[in-house]
Amino acid sequence: MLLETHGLVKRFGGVVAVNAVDLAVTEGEVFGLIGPNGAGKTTLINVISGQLRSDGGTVHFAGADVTRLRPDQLARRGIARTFQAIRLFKGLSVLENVRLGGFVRGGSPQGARALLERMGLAARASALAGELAYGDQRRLEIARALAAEPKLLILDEPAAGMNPTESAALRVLLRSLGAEGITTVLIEHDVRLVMGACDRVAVLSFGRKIAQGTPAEVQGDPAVRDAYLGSDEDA
Amino acid sequence: MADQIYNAIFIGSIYALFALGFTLVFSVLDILNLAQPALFTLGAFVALFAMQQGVPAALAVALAFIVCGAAGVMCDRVAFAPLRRRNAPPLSAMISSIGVSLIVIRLIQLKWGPDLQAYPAGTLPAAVFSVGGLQLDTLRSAIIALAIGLMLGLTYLVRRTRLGRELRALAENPRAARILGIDVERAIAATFFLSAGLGGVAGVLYGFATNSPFSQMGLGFELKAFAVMVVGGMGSIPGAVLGAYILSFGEIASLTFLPSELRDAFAYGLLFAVLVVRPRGIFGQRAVDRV
Amino acid sequence: MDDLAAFLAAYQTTIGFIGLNAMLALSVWLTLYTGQLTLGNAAFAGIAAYCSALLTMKAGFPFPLALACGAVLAAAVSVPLGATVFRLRGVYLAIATLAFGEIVRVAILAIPITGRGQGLVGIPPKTELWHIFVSLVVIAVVLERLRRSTVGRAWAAIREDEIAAASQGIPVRRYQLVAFVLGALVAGWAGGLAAHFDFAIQPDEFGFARAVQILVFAVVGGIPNVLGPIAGALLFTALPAILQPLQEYRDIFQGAILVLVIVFLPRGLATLVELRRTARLRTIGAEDVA
Repeated sequence: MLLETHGLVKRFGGVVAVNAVDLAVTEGEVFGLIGPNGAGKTTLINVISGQLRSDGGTVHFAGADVTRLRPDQLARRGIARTFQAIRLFKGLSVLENVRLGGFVRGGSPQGARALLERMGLAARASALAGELAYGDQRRLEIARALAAEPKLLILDEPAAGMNPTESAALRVLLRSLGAEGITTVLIEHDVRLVMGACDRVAVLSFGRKIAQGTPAEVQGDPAVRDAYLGSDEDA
Repeated sequence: MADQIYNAIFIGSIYALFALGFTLVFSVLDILNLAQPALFTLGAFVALFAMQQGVPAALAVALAFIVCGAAGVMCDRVAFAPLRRRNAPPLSAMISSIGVSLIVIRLIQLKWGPDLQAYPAGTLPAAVFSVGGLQLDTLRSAIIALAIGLMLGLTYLVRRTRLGRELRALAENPRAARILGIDVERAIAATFFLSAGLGGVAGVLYGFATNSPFSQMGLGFELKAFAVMVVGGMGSIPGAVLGAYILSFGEIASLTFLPSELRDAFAYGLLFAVLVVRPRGIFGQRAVDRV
Repeated sequence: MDDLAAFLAAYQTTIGFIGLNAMLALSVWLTLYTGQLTLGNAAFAGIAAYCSALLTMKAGFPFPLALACGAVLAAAVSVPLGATVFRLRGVYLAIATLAFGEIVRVAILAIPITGRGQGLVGIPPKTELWHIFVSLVVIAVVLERLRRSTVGRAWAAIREDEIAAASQGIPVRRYQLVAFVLGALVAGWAGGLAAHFDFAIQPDEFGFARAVQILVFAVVGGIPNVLGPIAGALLFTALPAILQPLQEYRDIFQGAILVLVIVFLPRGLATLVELRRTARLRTIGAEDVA
């Protein structure tokens, strides 16, 4: 198990956003995290990646307890992430963004260029990150995260705003990451991407994990359908 | 002893009014309006000007509230609103407010000079009376009453009126507030009006109390307000009130062992002690950034 | 050549102050470059000014050693101050440095050895123009090198987006503290030079008004590189000397220019040299931080 959470809890005032969630992600797999809007998926990974402090439970990474570590400490241990609302360094160049991504590895321009090539952004190396089209910005964020040579890559809705061609390319990328020794945790709403890229999926609803399994297993689960469509009692 | 308590309540009330001005803007907009001390000073001088024309003291206070409130709204239009429109970071707004402060204080100085002024003789109540052995005076009692009245009024406004709900929604989540149909710019203008108005009234009241308004009176007071906000919790209205009295009572108590020139040291010491031990203060919330 | 010598002699003080102000502007620039606001650099300069002056006057220290001691003292004081506040949101730094400035001023007024309100008089005038300008050049070169190095690039990332920077492994707090302490060191060096330039110093010279002035230099000059603050200091020191009759309105101009620059020209005068880049930044809404 590369990443494990045990009974992870996060509260905001009176609201329990993450309610005793247990996760176990194996090395090399692509693990999906899905659920209706507001289920707590982003909050969960914010706690895992150190942006938010947990109110209970633990996070273990590569065997060590990392619950109380700061984001920059986690990055040095090999966790990299992208954000739901893209957080690029807008006023810096595309190349500079990727170089900074590789900060913990020295940030060489050559390594950065190679990554840009791989993500199809080499032609825009000297553009300002904020000038890129939306789909390109998402790809840049992923390139920046990969520059850190992470063991665990956490992607928060990477396909949001991408067209079908772009998300197909993303699917290919995600499948290839496992072979490179990178484990991926993915929050996504794009069904085809989740089905095509993930080995296993966990479903969150109202802060609790309500289902887990292969994409096919989870898709057929009635509890999952209810979570997305809402049951009659709530209406 | 009773007199000291009375004094502490009195000075704490003024601290509270002034700090509330900062707190309102901070809670709604997340920025520290460093022009607030200038508005504080402006209040004292608006009243001075009015009273020199024969306006009675009570009316001068009201006038200060209105004029400073309007000045606050103008400040926002000129120095903050354009920054909001392009999502500039809070740093920019703070720097901008410093610029405003420079201009306002210098204008006051050009008209009245840097020296201590005094309100026209006979315009301020000088009556003294006794209540059960306590020596009280009309001036300080009136100031306390007015300040507490304003605080209650503000509390009512924030909790019971539609504007108050809008302000709380804005403080919580500006984007959601907009989607809910709240006229954000109008609510912000109201915030500045109240904030500046309260600051201006605090200035008049302090000016009355010391009977020596002067152009630099805002700076020293500003630091007291910071201590109040840090102790009470940035952005918390009850925190500002509680923090104000904690500071004023603490200052009076510390006078028993500190020489009077170092009276201010208590405020600074408190400020840094809180920053080290419990930075969010009493009611403040740890800043949680949405990612 | 004679004309130049005559010019220098006549304007010696102003030219010296341009250099000193430029160093002070650079000291604030460091913290601004990481996206934070400090109002304490005048106080750091003051601490070093008094320290170095007292060392040369009362303890017979050689001039360079006294300067160094003053600067190091200022930097040493800045460490606990910074460490306390950089773990908190940016607004706390502004508050803490403002409060710190006042504390220093009050402390100077209270400690007898500083001459209290009368200030220190009779400081040996050891600072020559070349001391000031050599210092300025060395500091400017070092800072510009730093800005282009990994450290400086990390600072730029922090300024753009602290959260994203941290998630890439940049230790945000530590780097902000480094910029802050370095700023205190530079301000201290300038303070020591200033004390020995004009043979007397007073507590008011290092108070809030001065801190604001230095801020104006840096902000109006612009933060993209070290030339900005230097240009800002040059403009605001030379101009008042030329526009003597308008001395009274100086604060109003400074305040107005500060607001105008922040609102319309956030990158400061640097904008004029990098028109295209500024236009691109404006289009993507990144002009305030870059």
